[in-house]
Amino acid sequence: MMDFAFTAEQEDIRTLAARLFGGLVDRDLLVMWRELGASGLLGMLVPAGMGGAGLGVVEAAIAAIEAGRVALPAPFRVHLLATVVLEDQGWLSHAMLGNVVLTLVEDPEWVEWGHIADAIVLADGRLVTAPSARARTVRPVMDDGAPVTALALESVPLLPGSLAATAAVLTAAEMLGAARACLDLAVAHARVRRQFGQPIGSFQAVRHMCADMLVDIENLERLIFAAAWAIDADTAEATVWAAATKSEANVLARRVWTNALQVHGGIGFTWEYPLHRVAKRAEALASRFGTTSVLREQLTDSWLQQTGSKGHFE
Amino acid sequence: MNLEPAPEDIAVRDAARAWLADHAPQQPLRHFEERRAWHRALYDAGYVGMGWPRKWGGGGASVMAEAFVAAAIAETGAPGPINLEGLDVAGPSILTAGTEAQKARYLQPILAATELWCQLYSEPDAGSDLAALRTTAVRDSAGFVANGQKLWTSEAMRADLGVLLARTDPTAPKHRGITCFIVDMRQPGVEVRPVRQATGANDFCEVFLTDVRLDEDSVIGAVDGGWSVAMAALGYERGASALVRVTRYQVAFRRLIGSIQRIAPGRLRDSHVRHRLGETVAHLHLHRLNALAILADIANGTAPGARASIVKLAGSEFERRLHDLAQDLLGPHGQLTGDGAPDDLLVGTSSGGEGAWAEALLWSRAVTVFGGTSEIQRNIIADQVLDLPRDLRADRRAA
Repeated sequence: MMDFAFTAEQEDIRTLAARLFGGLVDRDLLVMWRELGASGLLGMLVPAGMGGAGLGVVEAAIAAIEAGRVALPAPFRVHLLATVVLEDQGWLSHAMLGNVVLTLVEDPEWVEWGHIADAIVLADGRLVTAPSARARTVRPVMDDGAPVTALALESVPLLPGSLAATAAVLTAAEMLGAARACLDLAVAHARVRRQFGQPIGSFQAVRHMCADMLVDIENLERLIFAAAWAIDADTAEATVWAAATKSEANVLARRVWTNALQVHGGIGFTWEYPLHRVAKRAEALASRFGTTSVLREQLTDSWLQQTGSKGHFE
Repeated sequence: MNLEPAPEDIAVRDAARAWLADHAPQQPLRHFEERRAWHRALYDAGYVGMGWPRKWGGGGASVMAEAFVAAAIAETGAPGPINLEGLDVAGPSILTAGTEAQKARYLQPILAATELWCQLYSEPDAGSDLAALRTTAVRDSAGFVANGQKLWTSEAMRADLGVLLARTDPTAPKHRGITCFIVDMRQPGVEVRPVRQATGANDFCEVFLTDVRLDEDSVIGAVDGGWSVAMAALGYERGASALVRVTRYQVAFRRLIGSIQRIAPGRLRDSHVRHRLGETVAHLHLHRLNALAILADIANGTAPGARASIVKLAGSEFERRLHDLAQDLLGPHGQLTGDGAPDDLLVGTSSGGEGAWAEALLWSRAVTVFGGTSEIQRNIIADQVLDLPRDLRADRRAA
């Protein structure tokens, strides 16, 4: 039976993740990691037989959305991705408990949280422990809540298709959470900010901008959970659906934060107001695990190559 | 989350695909009589009104199975049934609010298309603000007498019957005081004039009602309760058709690429073109998911509510962009009209029929208007989902 709704267990994960991330957002990373480890969230993608929660990409995406909502200044998503491929059982146990921080390498020049991670995990499951990385240069990037590091690593393998799909979907999910926070701030602002003697949210130009933001967000959510389901169900469509999802996430998240800033006017452009943190998270991740032009090229190929029978999109 | 359709719905779809492989028309259906014959074939095969109760000539099928079959028809490139105002407006109105006598009298001829219907809702001064309609129906000893003017009435020139919204209580607030009637379109006092559209065709009409007789038993639902009857039917119209619309886009996109492979194959190696193709592939996927989500809502007993507005808005805006791309790729081929275009340059349009890419382009500019404009959908989203302060409106200030 076709059903787009979440189960009660999935709603519980959303509640748990929202409560933990909301409460830990200002805490020290080590404290945060212990708490998240104790909650079981760090082992969600590890099979039950290996001591994890054995959950799927749908559940991980639910949690990643909540991380994005608060622009979590922590490597939650890359840590989860690293646990998917990490082979070393000892490190894996500690990673699930939050005793160590992992990251996953997509491109050695741009490793998220590479300056802090206790172990750098490569796409083939190999692990580089902290001291062996010969150089670590933290790069000055726009979103200081998601720092990246250039690492001197050699012969870094490409992400295999299934891991690339999971990475694309979870990254899109974190972007969605950040975009939702942008919309929530914009709507709250439009309700109370008054100009010309009335709330600006009663002006149709502003109302329609907010409606467009909601449409973008709902559409992105639909793409994310369809792709997450396809990965969990191990369907043939999973890879291309993930590519479609991330290619759209990059465009939609940017459009949402741009509109949110416009609705806010000048206050949205200040450092004290929280919008810029979530806006930057929504933007920064567009550059990771699939840029739009590269993914659209893949989608075009997949469409043109499908012959005769129904393709992946029908 | 489960996107796997139920096995019984897949079985119905596969049976329809098998039937269509033998019966789907091999040529575009350019004339109404061809469309009527195709409708009859679909009806005889049990593919019209699949979701209606068996008692009234329907198939009693699940909403999913019904949509899958409609999409299977669209996959072949063939148009769907005719008499859409009967199937999507009159039928649902009578099914949800009509009397047993009305159901017995009207429903089966709707399915068989032996009686054709039109929808007499919009007026010159009541478009987006439909509840401002001014056509009156005044009670007399034998029932009601209607006077007024209707506009944008699809298929009125062929219609035997119409569903009419008319004001029965001019003193009530505007959404109350409206009644839904069944009108015999063949009686004196009903004058139908075609409205020629930008495409050059006459799919719409204006209808003048002068002292038109309405019997007491022509009222659908309660007197002064017509607004809720109409709204229930509108919701049905949006939900059930979304998957067909998306399937038509997929077919159009495939035909577009096929045409480009013939006309200008080198364009498909151009990186800018490929970028736009990839974007379109992602959007087709998204809008198909949206259509399935609406269907899943209905199937699981959840009212789609404002989600229908989100899907309508996003889908119709996408249709515009699809035709922007088609025009760019086709160049002057895109300017050919249906009268002169070869069969391989015909495509389904949002009129429900077929045309060349030029007509499909023009129709893509009508989908953001009919069935609730994009602006009205944004208002619904702003009010019902985002709970933003209401916009200032003269009619609210007066109230």
